[in-house]
Amino acid sequence: MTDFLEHWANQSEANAKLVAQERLMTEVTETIWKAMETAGINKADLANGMGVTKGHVSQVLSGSRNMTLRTLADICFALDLTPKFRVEMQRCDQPWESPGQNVVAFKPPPLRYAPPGNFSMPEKDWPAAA
Amino acid sequence: MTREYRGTRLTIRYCEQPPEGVEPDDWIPPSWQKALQHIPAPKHPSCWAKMLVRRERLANEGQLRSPDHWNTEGTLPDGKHFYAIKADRLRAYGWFSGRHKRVFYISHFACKKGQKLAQEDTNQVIKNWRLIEEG
Repeated sequence: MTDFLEHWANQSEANAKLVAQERLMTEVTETIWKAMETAGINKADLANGMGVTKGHVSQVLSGSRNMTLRTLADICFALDLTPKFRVEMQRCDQPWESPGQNVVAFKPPPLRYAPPGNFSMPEKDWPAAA
Repeated sequence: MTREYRGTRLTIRYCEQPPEGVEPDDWIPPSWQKALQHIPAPKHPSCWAKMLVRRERLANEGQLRSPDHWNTEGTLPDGKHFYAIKADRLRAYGWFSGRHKRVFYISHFACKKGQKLAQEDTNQVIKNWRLIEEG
C-alpha cells in the first residue's frame, strides 16, 4: 500500500529523481553514523582522524555541504572501513551483471611488486667502480 | 482503508486518515500541508523527498541514526519517549506503539520554528497516543 509521500514521488520524473538523490544521501549518511556508533566515535573524533574541523564533518553529514567521493573515501579511511559500491537495475529481479561483477571494492589490493620481463636494469651492465 | 507504509521491519501508520468518501490517493494529511506553508515554495520538493526516504529508511531498518534525520523529543504518559523524523525544519512526530507490534505511529507533521519543542506539538502527540494506545 502506498502513502501520500509515494504518491507524490510517482507524480513526475522530477520528483522520482529527487527521491533517488535523497535516498542515496540518506543511505550513505546513515551507514556512516552506524559505523561511527559501532566504533564508538563521535564527530570530533572523526574530524581529528580526517584532519578537518568538526564543523566541516557536521556540514558533510547533514548534507549542507556536498559530500564528494574523495570526502567519502577520507571518512571511510578514518573509520578503517572499506566502502563498496553496488548498482542494480530497478524493477528487475535479476542483477545487472552476474553476482560479484557488479560489486566494486575500493580497497586497493596488497602491493606486490614484480619487475616485468621487459624492464631493463642498466646498472647490472655498468662496470663495477674501480 | 488505513493509509500506511509497510517496510521490512516496521509499518508507518498515520493518525491522520482520509475522511470517508475521499479518494486516498488524492488525500494529503492536513498537518503536512499546514507545515509546508512555513517553508519557501522552492524547497517543498526537497522536503517531500527527504521525508519520504527517511520514513522509508525507518520502516526498513527500524531506526534512524543521524541526528539530522531523527530526534528524541518529549515524554509520553507511560514514561516512554516520542520521536521526530526530521526533514529540514519539518518534523513528523510519532512513537513506537506498544499496543500494535512493529508499528510506528506518526501523530502529525509540524514545522519547528525554534529550538524548543512546542507545547502544542507535545499535546497533540499525547492526545493521539491516548486514542491509539488507550482507546
